[in-house]
Amino acid sequence: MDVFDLIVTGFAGALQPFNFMVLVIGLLVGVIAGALPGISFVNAMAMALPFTYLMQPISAMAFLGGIYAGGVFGGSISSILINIPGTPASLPSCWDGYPLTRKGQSRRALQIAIVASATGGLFSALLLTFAAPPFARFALRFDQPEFFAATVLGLLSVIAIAKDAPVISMLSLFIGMLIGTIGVDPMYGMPRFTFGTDAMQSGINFTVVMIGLFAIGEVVDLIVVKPDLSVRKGPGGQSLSGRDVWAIKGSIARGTGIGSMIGMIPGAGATVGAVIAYGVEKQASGRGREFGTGVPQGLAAPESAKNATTGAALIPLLTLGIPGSAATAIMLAAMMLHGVSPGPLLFTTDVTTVYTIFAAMILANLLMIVAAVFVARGFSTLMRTPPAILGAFIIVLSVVGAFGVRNNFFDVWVCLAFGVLGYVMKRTGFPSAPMVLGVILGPLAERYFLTSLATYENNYLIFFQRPISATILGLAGLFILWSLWPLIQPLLNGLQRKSRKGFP
Amino acid sequence: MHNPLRLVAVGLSLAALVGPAVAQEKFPSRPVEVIVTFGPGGGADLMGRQVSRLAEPILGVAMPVTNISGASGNAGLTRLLTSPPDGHTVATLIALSVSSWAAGLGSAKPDDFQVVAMMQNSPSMLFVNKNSPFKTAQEFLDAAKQNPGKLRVATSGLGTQDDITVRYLASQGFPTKNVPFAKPAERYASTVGGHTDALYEEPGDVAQFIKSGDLRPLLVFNDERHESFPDVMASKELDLAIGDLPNFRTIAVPANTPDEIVQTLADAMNQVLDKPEWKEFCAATYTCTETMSPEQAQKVVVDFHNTVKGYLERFGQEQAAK
Amino acid sequence: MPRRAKLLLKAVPPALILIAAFVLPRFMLQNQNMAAMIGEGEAGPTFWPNVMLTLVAICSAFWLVREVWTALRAPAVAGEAPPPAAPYNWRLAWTGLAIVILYGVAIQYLGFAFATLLFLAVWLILGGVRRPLTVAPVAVIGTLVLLYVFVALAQMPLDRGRGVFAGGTIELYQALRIY
Repeated sequence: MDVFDLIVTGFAGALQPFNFMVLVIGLLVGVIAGALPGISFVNAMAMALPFTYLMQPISAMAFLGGIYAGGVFGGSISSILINIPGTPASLPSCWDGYPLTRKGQSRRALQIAIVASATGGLFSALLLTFAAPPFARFALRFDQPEFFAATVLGLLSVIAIAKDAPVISMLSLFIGMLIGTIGVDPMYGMPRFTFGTDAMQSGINFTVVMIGLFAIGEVVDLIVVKPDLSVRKGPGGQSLSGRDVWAIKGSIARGTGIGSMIGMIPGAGATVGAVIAYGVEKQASGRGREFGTGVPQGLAAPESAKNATTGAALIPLLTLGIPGSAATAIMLAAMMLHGVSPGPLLFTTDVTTVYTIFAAMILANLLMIVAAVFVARGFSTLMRTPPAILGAFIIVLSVVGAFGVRNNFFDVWVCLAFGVLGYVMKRTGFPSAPMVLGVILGPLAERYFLTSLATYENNYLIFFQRPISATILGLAGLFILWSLWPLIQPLLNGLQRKSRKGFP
Repeated sequence: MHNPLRLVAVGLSLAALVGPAVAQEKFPSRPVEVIVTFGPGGGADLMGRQVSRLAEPILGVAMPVTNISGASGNAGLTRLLTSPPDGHTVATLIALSVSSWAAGLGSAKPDDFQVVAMMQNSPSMLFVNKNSPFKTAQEFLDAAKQNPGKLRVATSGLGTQDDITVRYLASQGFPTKNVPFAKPAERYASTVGGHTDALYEEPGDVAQFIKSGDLRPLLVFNDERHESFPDVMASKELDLAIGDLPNFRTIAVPANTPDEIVQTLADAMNQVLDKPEWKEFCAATYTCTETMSPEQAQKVVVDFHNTVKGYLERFGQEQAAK
Repeated sequence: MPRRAKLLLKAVPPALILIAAFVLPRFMLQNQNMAAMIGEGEAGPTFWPNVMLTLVAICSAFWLVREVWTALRAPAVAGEAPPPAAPYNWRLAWTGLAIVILYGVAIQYLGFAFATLLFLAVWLILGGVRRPLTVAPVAVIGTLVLLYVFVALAQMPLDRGRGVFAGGTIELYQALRIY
């Protein structure tokens, strides 16, 4: 069959009333779960899994795909409105999204986020549809050193985006990476920093740390400070115009490109993509100095990048049967429970299923605009409730969410401990975002580093000897030079002046 | 029933309650929680979810699945041991967790658990990439002998039955390099992508790669050949005595659970094993096993623990002797 | 001098982090015998944490030196008084944090249902919502919605509490048709 015939068949399947209905329900569930602080969409997908037992495999995938696409966007609603990221990938959206809310422009910020996310998601769904097999073959050439290089690029971005006091941001990042080493190590199975307790052997989960640092500290501040988060009239309080969208087209394009590439790398695709996109945008937009004060470009780039990872992350899942993230692992479980094994065979034996999933992902991203507008409006209304009521429910949701990550009560204690720490850090101005990113990226970097060494005879130079990893590391080096250029330039000028004096 | 007054009434009636009302209830009287000791999408998860789906109608109560991952499954098992031993909490207990105890992880031991039923069992196998130069197990072993430590075998970690097998092969004169991958998906991708020379895994977890031809089985670590792979040599045929490390998956409860409850659960599980849906599932994952009583299944777990412990002590002494 | 001492106080956090970076390596592995399993030339499980500890030590040392430097170079007498900061109710904030921790304890003893009901009510009162006609319905309806979503629909194994409360929670769930 021709590709376009297959796509038509796929859309016919995805538009069947039941499939379409579960897709819409999935989207709404995803956006709402993502937007609730504490509850992550991965949680929601795991909870939704039993409901897919009774569905056809295609409906099950449409349902989970809807939650996935909606959830990756939904996390930004609470980032923008209350500075609490709903999912780790929405962390960079806090940096320029929440300042817009403080200026009374929350409606505009949400609209920027929706447009950017939907564009990124749609592009990557199209990439999935038309280019999955070649991209999968390319992805297979990536080995551990390449994964390590990509993670290093993410870590360097964290340093590059540090607004002020780079040393303290780096300290926060390294403390986060150190927290990430707690528990059983990924290779030898040896417990580290467990202080003799069994509970610590499971390690510290990054979602739990994020909920603690951001949600609890923020809520306690909420009842004391009572900030004004409502939409205000006046310049910028209005809706987004076509011209506004045109002004951020470059940011959306850059974010989408970065997200689609990063999404194919297993691990923390969406988070890494969003952080790198924010870092690149800070340099590329020409408004880097204003970043962090509510710049539309600084919101659009990470938004488009994180949704651009959704389709890309499905490429290795569907073509190779290899899930790269917790969300795609749940989709794998749903398919396996129905006796459908994703992988190379699926494209020959069950090609209609594959194209129906593609069509569902395209539809999900188109419909997401509608779903997102409704949910965002609902949440904006919720913001009018008194801060005490809002805060009470955020804390309960945080506790439930921290527990739900692994159904482990120890995680609730970790979350509450980080809540106290997060509050202290917030009041003293010690940056918490690099710490969370360190907890996310540190264990990935360590695992890829150790496995690279084990695979390549303990050769520490392997990262520079393989072409792809060397290229990524080279790019990372250039990137860090580029971002530190404002610091380096005066030094160089000074040297030049000195040498001119010396040799007239 | 949505009446908030009802809630207040229940709250007030609390004061009147003397002692836990749970003690005399009949089993099962409320949902039976199935703790899956690994994350969604893995072999243990699929087993737990199939059990929950198929046993619900037999037991007549809901069986929600809870994934508690971490520390080779020990986080979930700790949770099982701290739950009341009334049968309303069961957990997956798999070979990997048992071997982790022998390697010194966690504080659990086989006596802490009562195995309810043996659900799945499969020997492990050695796989190579479809373009691999090795056509038979003998070719692979010869290459290992000629290039000691050069061939890379992707495994699930050190101190596991994967590691024991690699160490055993080395002790028999076939040294290879163990490359541990914490994430199964990355482990498979590394061999499918040709970055490692071989993969140690049970066939069910890589069924789609076997069927598509991306992975080729070379050797079964068992005394006899696998009925689904009659052309693949068994380790015993090559005089390798490493057929005593099966990959089993069981359902277990805390050791002090009353016998009648264990029996009720065991009957339900054995009915699940007889269902056509289960037969289809275990055939697709090459894990069908004979029905066992709780005592027989418990013995498999205890023996496995002793075997792993024996191997690790032997390797430890050999290392110390060097 | 008091001003200088106050500035030196700002050097305490980096100093503590620096000390931790030197003390923590002792607690890294549970028993050192395990290190025998590591093959020759391998990085091993301690390599990465050690690199991180070193980086933490370097960054905190840099921060410490900078704080001490600014403190010592600062004029002994304050030039200008800092602008008066907006009054911040520290007592309210720390009470809030304590209540959040107590909520965690309460879940384990009273169970999720009763602990949440209690917590919602207490937090509302703390946050300035004091009308009983607001507090009671928000707490009761809020708890019910949370129970239906997370216990009934999502089937999360949230704590049922201990002793009497375990029985009470199960009766409550049965009354609500969750079980």
